[in-house]
Amino acid sequence: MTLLQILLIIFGSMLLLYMLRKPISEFVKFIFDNFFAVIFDKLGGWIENFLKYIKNQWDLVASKLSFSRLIASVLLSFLLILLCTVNYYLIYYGMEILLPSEEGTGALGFTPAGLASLVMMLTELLVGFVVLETIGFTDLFDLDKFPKIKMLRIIMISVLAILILAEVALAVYRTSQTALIEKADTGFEKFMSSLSYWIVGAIAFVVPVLIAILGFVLRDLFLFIAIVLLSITYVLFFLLNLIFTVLKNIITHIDDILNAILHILTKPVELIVNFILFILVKLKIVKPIIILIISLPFLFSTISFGKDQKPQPKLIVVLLDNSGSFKNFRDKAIDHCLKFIDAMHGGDKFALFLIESESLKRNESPINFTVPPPKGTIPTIIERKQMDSTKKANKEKISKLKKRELSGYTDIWGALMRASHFINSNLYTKYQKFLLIYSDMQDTKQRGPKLSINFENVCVKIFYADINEQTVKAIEFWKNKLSEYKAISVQVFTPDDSETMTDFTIKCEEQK
Amino acid sequence: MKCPACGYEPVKLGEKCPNCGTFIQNPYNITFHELVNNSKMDAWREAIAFILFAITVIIYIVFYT
Repeated sequence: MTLLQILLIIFGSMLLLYMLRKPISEFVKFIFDNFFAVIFDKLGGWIENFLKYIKNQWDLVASKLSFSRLIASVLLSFLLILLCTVNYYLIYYGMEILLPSEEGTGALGFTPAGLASLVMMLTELLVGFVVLETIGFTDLFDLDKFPKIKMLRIIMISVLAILILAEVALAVYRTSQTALIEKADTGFEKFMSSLSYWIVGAIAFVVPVLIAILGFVLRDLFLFIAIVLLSITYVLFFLLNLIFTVLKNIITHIDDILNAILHILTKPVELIVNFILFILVKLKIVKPIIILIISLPFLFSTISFGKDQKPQPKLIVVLLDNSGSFKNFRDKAIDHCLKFIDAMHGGDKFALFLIESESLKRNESPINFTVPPPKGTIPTIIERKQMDSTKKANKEKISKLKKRELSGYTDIWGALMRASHFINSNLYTKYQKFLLIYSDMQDTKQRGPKLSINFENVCVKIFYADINEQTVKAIEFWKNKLSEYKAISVQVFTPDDSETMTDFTIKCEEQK
Repeated sequence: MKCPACGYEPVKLGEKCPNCGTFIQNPYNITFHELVNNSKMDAWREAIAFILFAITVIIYIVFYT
């Protein structure tokens, strides 16, 4: 692809974009405003309301949480953890009798006895917290304001009492088992074994009761955890809302962005167009010029409809001298002849006959071909390729004549008779006819016009006719003879004329 | 020509109407800047762009296809 071709494509695209910039902009605006913006609203419209909800919840939680209480709760929670650990071992101490305590038989790294102890300890803590809520000591869920809360309070106190009593009973029972006391291997077991029944029972009662009371620190810890979670959620959704707002702004203002891009892309074209329009306005010919240019294709089409749309095809018949006397010019003549082939159009016919000792003998057919005609007025790329390949194949055939053996005699009469018959065939009545003779025109066969020769409506051109004192008469003789045979024109080109020729578009110039 | 405001005839382009005093704009007496910013000329601009586009396409078809 050449630079000019690329520039033409860019210029054409910019012009197309300039013409279509308004419909493109309106179409994109319509699509984005009525389709994408609506979908986007449906997808992300809830984020803002959700943020408001989170903010309200945060405010509510924050109103219940005071910093001093939180610090106190954190400090007390250390005591609570200590008591929970003690309580766990107390329950485990008794639970060992009921459940197996071997490693690998429970879950989550706990033995069955350990797991039951953990659950029981946590239940005591949570039940204690719920009891505190029901009596209004803590106000995290404001359970005391619920109707029929007394029943829940009694149930929770009963559950707590049962758990504590079970823990006391298990601890005291374990202490009574002398066989187990003797097997005690941990420090805690040995310590518990050394205590009397009522002390063990008192510890097993006091510790869970203390845990249940200390459950009130959960209120502030829960509030703190809630406020942390709400803050994280708020920040995440705030960022999401920010991205959503930016994208929504882009979508709803896409036409502005597009207009700006189109404006930048089409600015050079706009300047050219404005400049042309300005000149036309200043010359006061804007309307007539535009109307004239727009009507030009119609004018051309009207004119062309009046005529035959396709030009008349050409029949080019070449007589090439292959005798020894033309030896010096034969190869040049072949190259010269090939240039006419390059200039041929679709539908044109070409035939090459050799001038040899027996030119009239038809045992060897001429090199002939027709350039494939295009279906339309302007050939397509494929048609052009077909035309080029036909020309190329036949040019190669003709080039091979350079290696052909030269003949001893020059039978010009025979060649003219053969060419005359060929040209006047009924197959070529609609063709514009040309006879190109590449010869020194020195007839050594002296056959004479045995058959009728007619070159009516034929333009004759003789190339590489080397005019000198010996040949001038013969060339003049043939020129007159061809005119007698009704040729439209007979032009003679010397080797110098032939070599310096540049325009190979074949035309007929009538005889003056 | 007629005055577009009062219909008085004849009035000259680029002068005031002798009847009502309305200034009659001469459409040909326009600066390049006024022409660029005149949206009434859009149709003409598009016509010129279309002609240039058609010429470009014809040149491309004739020389490169």
